[in-house]
Amino acid sequence: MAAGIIIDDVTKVFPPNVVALKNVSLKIKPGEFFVVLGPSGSGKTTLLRIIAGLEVPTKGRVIIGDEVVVDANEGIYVEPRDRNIGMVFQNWALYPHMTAYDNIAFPLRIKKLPKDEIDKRVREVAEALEISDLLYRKPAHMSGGQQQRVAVARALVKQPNVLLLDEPFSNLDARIRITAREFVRELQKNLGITTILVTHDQADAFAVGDRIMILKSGIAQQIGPPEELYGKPANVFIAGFIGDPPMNLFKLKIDHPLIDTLNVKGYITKHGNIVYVGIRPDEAIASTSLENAHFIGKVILVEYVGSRRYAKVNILNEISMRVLAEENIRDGDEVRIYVKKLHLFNSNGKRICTINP
Amino acid sequence: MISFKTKMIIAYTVLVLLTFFWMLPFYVALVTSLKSHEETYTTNVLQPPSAANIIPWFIAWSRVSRAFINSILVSIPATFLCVLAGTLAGYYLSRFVSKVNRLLFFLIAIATFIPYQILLIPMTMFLSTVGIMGTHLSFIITYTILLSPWATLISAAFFLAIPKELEEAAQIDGASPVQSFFKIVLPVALPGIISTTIIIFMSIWNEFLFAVTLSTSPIIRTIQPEVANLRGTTTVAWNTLMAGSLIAILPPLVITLALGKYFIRGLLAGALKGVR
Repeated sequence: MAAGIIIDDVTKVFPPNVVALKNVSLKIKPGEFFVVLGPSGSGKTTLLRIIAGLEVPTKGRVIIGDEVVVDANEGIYVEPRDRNIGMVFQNWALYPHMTAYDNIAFPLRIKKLPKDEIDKRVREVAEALEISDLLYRKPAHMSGGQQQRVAVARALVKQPNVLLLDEPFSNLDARIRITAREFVRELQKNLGITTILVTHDQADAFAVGDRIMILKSGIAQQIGPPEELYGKPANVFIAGFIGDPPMNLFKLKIDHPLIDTLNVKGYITKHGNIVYVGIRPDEAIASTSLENAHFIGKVILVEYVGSRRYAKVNILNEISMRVLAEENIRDGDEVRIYVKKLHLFNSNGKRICTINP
Repeated sequence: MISFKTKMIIAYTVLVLLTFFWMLPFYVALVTSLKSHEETYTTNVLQPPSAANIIPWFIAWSRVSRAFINSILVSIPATFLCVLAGTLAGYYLSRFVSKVNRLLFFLIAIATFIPYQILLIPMTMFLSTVGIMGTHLSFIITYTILLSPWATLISAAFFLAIPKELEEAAQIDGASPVQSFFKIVLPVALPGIISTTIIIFMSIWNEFLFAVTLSTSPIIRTIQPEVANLRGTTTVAWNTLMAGSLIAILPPLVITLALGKYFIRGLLAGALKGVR
């Protein structure tokens, strides 16, 4: 049965005084695919390990289904083996001396299930993960993608309430990665199992997540579906972190000419003298022939990011930003720039609003 | 630019030469052990015997057989104790990192660097005070004390090469710490443990200084000092001495040939990524 998870005010301090997580609270619905996204050292793996029971929080509690699995204040701690979770480690942690079959059967053998029941379930899960023909190979004789599937099969074979994935795609090369993401996503949807995935790669997060939590220095920054994180970033950190190529962010005084040009003074007067203005490269366009452009700039260079073409332009002789480029634009051109959407943040980096200038 | 073929020819020439020089003493020992007493003095050491003469082997065996058995009675328990203590300590020190453990590790490393000759007199004084000089037990205790730090260091290196995620995965898969140790850690570490066993066994078997000192009577004497005694008193009986030496290297040789596969895998385990 898929179970919901409640993380209640969890703090983790590693001795002497490294704060890995600070007052993190969140609720994961049964059957949800939840992603924890953050740069390295943000505490995301620690959070996953606390849910698994491999670490104990310094403060707070974790509830899986309707069972409190850990409560630092009450001194409750349920061993990982009693939590009925499946976990896939970053390096997959397959047992090197066992074949794929024995790896997958291991959790069931520990439970002392009857032999034919074990065999039936191993073959079922192997079928679902399309690894039936690898069952008698050892991990050393499998590709990265195959090892990953065996690791997922081992995590799923005991029909856990929760599936935990720690950077499952980071050891795969770019091409397999895309299929692996689709595969994990489909599998999760078919099984309806509550899943938490931890990653530093926003492409992973956006590809699979129903909801995403952004973690920075152990503090939850924003929790929401991908479109919300992209469309309404809660602060400057998220604005800069999410999106590829990254958002153009400017820290401007309120009397800066750009504020006038963009006509946003009305939104920010009560937020002090300094604001952050963010413009996504995809939400502004440089052209030689726009009627209603916001400002004029000079193209420094034109580049491809993914399949799109961007121009790095210099405006007002002091600010440079990256915007979508029309096809005919070349280095050194004078261009007119139109901004479709911009994001405003106060001097503390907190979101004010998103507007269409 | 040297071609691949030339490189291979050079490499093999060097290897063959090295093997030749390494095998030469063994060859000399073998042919000498099959020569008659006169022949050992009249012929060149490299020259094969005119007729194979196995009498020196019988003489040597009759003189070293008791010491041979003594050595087995001492080496096997001492190796077992060293490997047992070493793997347990090595596992603990490699898995539970703390300030105290780091200090312990450091002290154990230092213990292995002390020239062991220094311990000769204190150790014999200790053994005679306890009153077990001249027993098999004195050898077993001495070798366990001398070599368990080595066993700890070597096996800690092997355990360090096993990713801790393997044990965490076993934990999540439902295994208790004991199950996880016996079903996952031990089988994965087995090549390492076997290598440790071979190294420790050979060190004990080949040890000479303590063996001479602790062999207070012929009844208790072990193989290395007994082989040294084969030399004879007036003239050196080279053929018997060589036959005795060859008998003395048999156990380490047999063990290495039987377990060599694991030995090499174990030695490589720390060097290569991923444990096979």
